[in-house]
Amino acid sequence: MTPILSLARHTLIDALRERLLRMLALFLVVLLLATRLASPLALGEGRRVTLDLGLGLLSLFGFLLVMLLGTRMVQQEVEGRTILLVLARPVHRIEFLLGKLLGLLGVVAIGLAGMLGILALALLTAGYAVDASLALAGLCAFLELTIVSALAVLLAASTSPILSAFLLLALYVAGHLLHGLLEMARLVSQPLLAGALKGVFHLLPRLDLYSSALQAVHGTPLSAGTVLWGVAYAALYTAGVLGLALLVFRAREFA
Amino acid sequence: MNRAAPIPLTIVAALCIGLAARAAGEFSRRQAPVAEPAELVLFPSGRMLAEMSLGHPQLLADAAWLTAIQYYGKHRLTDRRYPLAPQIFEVITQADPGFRNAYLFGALVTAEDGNPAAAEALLRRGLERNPGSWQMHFELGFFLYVYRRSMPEAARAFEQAAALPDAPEYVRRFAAASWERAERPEIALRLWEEIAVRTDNAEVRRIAESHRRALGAAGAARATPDPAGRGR
Repeated sequence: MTPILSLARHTLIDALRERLLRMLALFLVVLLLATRLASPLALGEGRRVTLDLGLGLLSLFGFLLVMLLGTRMVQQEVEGRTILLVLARPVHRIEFLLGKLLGLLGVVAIGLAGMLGILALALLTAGYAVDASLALAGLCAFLELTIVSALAVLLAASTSPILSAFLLLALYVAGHLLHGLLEMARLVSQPLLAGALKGVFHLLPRLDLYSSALQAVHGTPLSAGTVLWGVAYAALYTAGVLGLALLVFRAREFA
Repeated sequence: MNRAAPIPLTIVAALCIGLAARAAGEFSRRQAPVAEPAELVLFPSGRMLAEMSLGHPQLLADAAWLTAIQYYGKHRLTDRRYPLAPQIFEVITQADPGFRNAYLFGALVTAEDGNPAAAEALLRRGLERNPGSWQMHFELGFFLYVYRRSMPEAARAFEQAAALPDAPEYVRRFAAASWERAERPEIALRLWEEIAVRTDNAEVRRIAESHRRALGAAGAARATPDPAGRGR
C-alpha cells in the first residue's frame, strides 16, 4: 500500500499547492454574488434558491476540478519524466493508477468539504437553517465525482489531456441525460437497436442518480439502504473503469 | 513488472460494470420518485432565444423545432392533446420569422387540438412576416376552407397565392373551385378560362373547359327570363 499512498499524497500536495485554493475562492465569490442576486427575487424561497445554486455550483466546480487535474495527471508525469522513475521502482501499474485516483479523490473530498462549508456559512449568514441533509448532499456529490474521477484516470491513461477533457465533458453530460436513451429504447421498433441503446445505457455512468439523490436537501427521504446502494454503484463502476484503465495503461510504453 | 493478463482483467472489469448496472437499478428503484417538472416550464421566449443565439437565431429555432416535434410525438402517442402548441410555435417563429414550416405545422397541430382561432392567428402572423410566400397564402386558404368553411376568404387567399411567382398551377384551380363554392361564378369563370389558356396539360385543360361550360350554361340559364314569371 505504501507506493499507492505516497503517489496519492504526491498528487494531493501538488493540487493543494495552488489550484484548489483558487477554485475555492472562486466558488465563494460566485456563490455569494449569485445568492445575493437571486435570493431577493425568489419571493420567500431564498433558502431553496441558495441551496440549489450552492449545490449546482458545487457539482460544477467539483467537475471542473476533476477535469482540470485528472485529465492531465498522467501527461504531467510523462512530460516531467517522473513516470520513468516511478515505474522503474517496484511499483505496479495498477498501484500507479490507484495512487493517482486516491490523490484525486483526496483533492475532491477537500474541495467538496470546503465548498460545503462555504455554502453552510452563506446559509447561516443569510439567516437560514442548516441541517444534516447538507452532508448527505455532499456525500452524493462525492460519489458522483468518484465515478467522474475514475473516468478521468481512464482517459488520462489513454489519450492526450485536451481530448481527455473533451471526452470527460461528453461523458459527464451524457451521464446526466441517460433517461432520454432509455425512452428512445422504449420507442424504437427494432429489437436490435433497442438492445444496443439499453446496452449503452448500462455502460454509461448513471450520474443522474446522484443528482436525484440531492433532492434530500429538500426534504425527500433517503434511507441508509439507498445511500449504501449509491456507494455500491460508485465503488463497482469505479472498479470496472479502473480495470479498463489498467488494460490501456499496461499497453503503453514510456521511453 | 507484473502485468495482469488482458483477458481476465477484461472479464473482471466487465463483471464490475455489470454488477454496477444492477446496483444502479436498485439505487434508482429505492429513490423516492422525483416529481417531473411541469412540461416545458423553462421553454424560453422567442425574443430571448434570438438574443441568446448571438447572431444565429435560426440555430436555436431549429433546436426549439426539434423540441416541438418531440412534444407533438409524445402527445400524439398518448393523450392527443397539445395545449402548449401555440406557445411553442410562437416561440419558434419569433426566433426565426422565416421558418415557414413552423407556421404550417404549428397551425395544423393547434387546430387538431381544437383551437382553430389560435391556428389561424399563427398562419396570419406567418403571412405578415412572409408576404411573398405562395405557400403561406395557400395554407391560410386551405385552413379557411377546411376549418372555417369560409369560401370567399379561402378563395381570396388561394387567388393571392396563385398570383405569386413559383405558385404551382393547381393553386389557381383551388381558387377557381372555391369561388364556385362561394357562389361567385363570374370570378370562377374568369379563373377557369385563365387555367384553360395557360396550361400545357390536356387533362387540366379538359377539366377547366368542363367547368367553363357548366358555369357558362348556368349563367345563361340565370340570364334567360322565366316565362312563368317565377324569377321575379
